[in-house]
Amino acid sequence: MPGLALVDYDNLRPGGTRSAGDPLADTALLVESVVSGFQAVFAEVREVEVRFYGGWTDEEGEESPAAKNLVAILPFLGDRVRGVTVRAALAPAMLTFPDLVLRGTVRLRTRPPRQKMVDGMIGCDALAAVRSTRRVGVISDDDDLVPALLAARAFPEGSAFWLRTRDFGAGLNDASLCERAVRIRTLGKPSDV
Amino acid sequence: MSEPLSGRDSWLSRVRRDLRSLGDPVALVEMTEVESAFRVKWTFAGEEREADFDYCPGRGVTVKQNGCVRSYDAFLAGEDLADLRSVARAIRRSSGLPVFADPRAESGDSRFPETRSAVGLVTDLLENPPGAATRLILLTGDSGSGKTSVLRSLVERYAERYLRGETERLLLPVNARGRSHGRLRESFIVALDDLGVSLSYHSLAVLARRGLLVPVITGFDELLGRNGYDDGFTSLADFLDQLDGRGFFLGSARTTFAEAEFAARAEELSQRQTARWTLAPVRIREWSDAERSRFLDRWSESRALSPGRREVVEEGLSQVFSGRRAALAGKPLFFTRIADLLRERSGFDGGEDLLDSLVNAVLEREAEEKLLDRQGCPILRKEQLGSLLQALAQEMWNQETRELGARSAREVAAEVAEALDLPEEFLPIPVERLPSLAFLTAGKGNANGNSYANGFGSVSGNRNGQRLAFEHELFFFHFLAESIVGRFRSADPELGVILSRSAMPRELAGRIARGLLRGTVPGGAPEVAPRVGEEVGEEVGEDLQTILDRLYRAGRLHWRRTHQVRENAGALAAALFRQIAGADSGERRISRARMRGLVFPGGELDGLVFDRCRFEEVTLRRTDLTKTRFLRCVATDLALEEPSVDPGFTRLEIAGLELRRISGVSVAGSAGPTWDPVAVAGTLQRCGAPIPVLPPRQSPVDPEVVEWMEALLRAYRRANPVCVRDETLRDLFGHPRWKELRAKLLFHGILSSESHPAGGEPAEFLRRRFPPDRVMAGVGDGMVEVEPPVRAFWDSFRKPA
Repeated sequence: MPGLALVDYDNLRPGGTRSAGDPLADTALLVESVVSGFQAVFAEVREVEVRFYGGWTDEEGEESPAAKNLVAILPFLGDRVRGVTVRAALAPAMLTFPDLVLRGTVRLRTRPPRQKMVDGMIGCDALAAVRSTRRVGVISDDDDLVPALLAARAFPEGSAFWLRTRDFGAGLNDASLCERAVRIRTLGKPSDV
Repeated sequence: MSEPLSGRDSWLSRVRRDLRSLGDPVALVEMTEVESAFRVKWTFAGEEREADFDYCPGRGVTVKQNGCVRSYDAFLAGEDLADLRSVARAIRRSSGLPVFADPRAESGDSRFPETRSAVGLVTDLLENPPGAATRLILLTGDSGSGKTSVLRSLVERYAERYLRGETERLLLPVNARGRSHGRLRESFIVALDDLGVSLSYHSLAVLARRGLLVPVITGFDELLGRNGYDDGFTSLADFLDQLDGRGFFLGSARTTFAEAEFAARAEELSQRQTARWTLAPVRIREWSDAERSRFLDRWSESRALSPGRREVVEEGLSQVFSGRRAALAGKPLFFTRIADLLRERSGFDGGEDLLDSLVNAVLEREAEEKLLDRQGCPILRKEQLGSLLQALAQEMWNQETRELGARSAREVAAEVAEALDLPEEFLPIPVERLPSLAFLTAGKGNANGNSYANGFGSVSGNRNGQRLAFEHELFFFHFLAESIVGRFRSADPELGVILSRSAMPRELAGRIARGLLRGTVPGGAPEVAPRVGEEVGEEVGEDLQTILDRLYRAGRLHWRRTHQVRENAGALAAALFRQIAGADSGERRISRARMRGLVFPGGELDGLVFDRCRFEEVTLRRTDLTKTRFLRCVATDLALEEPSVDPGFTRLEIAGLELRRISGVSVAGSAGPTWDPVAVAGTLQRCGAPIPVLPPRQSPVDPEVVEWMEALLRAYRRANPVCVRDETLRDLFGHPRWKELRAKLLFHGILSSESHPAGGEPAEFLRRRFPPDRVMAGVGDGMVEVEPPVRAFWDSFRKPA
């Protein structure tokens, strides 16, 4: 069964907020770290679908500049990473309502522009995927996703883990999550918790 | 080229949107009124630009920039924006159509009734204004029938004509199979990157809407799969939506099933979207003697073949395409490849299965004569080379694409080397050499000029690097079938995942079925005779039932692609049955088989008798049952969606068949499906279906109205929304009761009305709000529960009891 990586793209901001680097190289590096995380948790994984979440549509339902920039590099991310087949895609809609592109996941009229609904989408998608026995990785540094990760544990048939930039112990609830067998891994680090 | 923009506000808004798409992604578009015109500032390629736009009603927009006055279309296509001349040059650079003879084709368009050159026919369709709806020209033909060559020829011709200033229109080749599940937008990005042009994908909809660019999609049917959240059709629908009912779209598909499937799926989205389209099907005919002869003339000349040598090849071709292989001479793929093979190696006789034999002969030649080390010894045995090609095909299928990146290809080759336990000095075959292997080609231009991957190639300088593809999809199917058969036999627990990848083409299903039933992989000798109940009364063989059960279990994945898995399982089951039926005209009996959880997508089940079979949770979607009989069968949750039947032959003796699970039926030779429950029930009863006789209607609707409604609903298979000024629908909208019908349809919300310019004048378009079976379900008074507006609509026609 393919793994499913739900990536909070803007939260992780590959290359940093004002990176002068190559967005393609930075995003490819992120994907490689995600695959590495999956391999550490699910040794037998051969395929990972990567869904990038972010502020992809404005108040008018138009694709945001950030979405356009990411879409333009998606086809060049590489289809096989560390021996794992990877398929990356933008996630402008939820898994359960694929034809409903949610408007206003970024509010461009506010200054500065703000994201809306993105954490909710990731959390709900994580639950939906775990229910259908997928192996799920939530890739974000945002503690807003802690409830979703806990709730995912309620579905024993599925399997989810948290992949983030902070080390274990840096989160306020890490110990409690650990007690309830929510796996936490650090992006780019080999140890599993 | 396209109709002029109408209304000052409308075109201003349009100009703003167009420049936002064609300019830099975050470009600022400023508009200020200057006398009678508007001055617009934007940035492009990092530089600020400025032009004055003048709108004249009836004439459209003219653009004054740097002292030069141009039409709006010329401005968009110019080098400051889209720079279509550079795109045309890039297309010309990437061209390299091999020797080919244009097949003949026929169109569903009444203005072009005669059968003629496919290239000429599509050109005529492209040159005639599409009216007020995007014209989708769909070229259909079996694998190997020459569709891709026709499209390539059109792309090249238009590029040449564009550069000569003979047309303002350019055709952009896009390979939908090159990206996972036909993600159209990514395919566009890759197509532009392959060409090495600066045009961004955001601008494609603008240019397509103006008719300046026509996307040419190979693998259109790949976009029609039902894949859940990453469904390719959604991306197609979104693109069509952006065209605002203008421009063209050209695609190729293997079966006419794609036409009905496209229409049905587009209808599902019609209520939410604003796209307007008309479907112009073009069906390719097989090569006749004339095309074969024309090909041989050009081919002999291009290869400087002596008359004597040509005679030998022609003799060989006659021998290969004799007997039951004769029909395959109509497929350009076989004819051209076998001509090439015979030129190099005489003695090829075609064998039992032409594709198997062709592949084996080429593999043998490759292994013995071409893949040699420095000492002239073969690097790989024929079987090892076959294993490598199987692994590459499997990886493409897993990645849901028809092209592999260099990294993937390298890793797969290394894995095969390890699995075959080959000494390191022999392997891997350098990835750079893979495209030169038989059956493979580079996804970007190579030294041989044979630069097309399943259709279209590219020039150097792209970001995508070297990609690898099979030279033709039939070769891809051949090697993939071998791989899937192997995994099927090993009872791979991931069979459901394998079947979830994308819609399984008929040819692929056929080859897998052949391999499964032969007890060996395609091409090998039969090991186990199929036990499928070949004789009348014999029970279904264990082998077949085992396969059917495994297909059922594959579809029980609690996963988002369950529908795709069931549909592919159904395609495979249908292929198994067709394989059993064989090519002869006699009947074959499938006895006591139990089919569960299958969806049969289109196709036919000719010559089959299902005797005492069980159908549980099975759907037959637009399946041709005109030469099929079901005897003493039992069903639970069997759904029939617009099956084709012949009451004179078809038998549907299926206990448990419920009328509520049947949506529409097509009678052989009729104009199309009917959805009227009474007519459906009557037809099925004539086929022996044990469904209850419907009570006579207490207050029937005038049959003339019912007939008119069915004709209207059928019109939505060719266009959506339909235009009341459509010449081909004159009988519908010229009907004496049209005014009354229109008023009631709109009043009850069965249709909604829109106005769009057509031929310079506003015209009324009618968009349907309910599926055809739901609309027609209401014609019976209370027989079936229907939506209140539908009920109210039909009640308004009822005569008092």
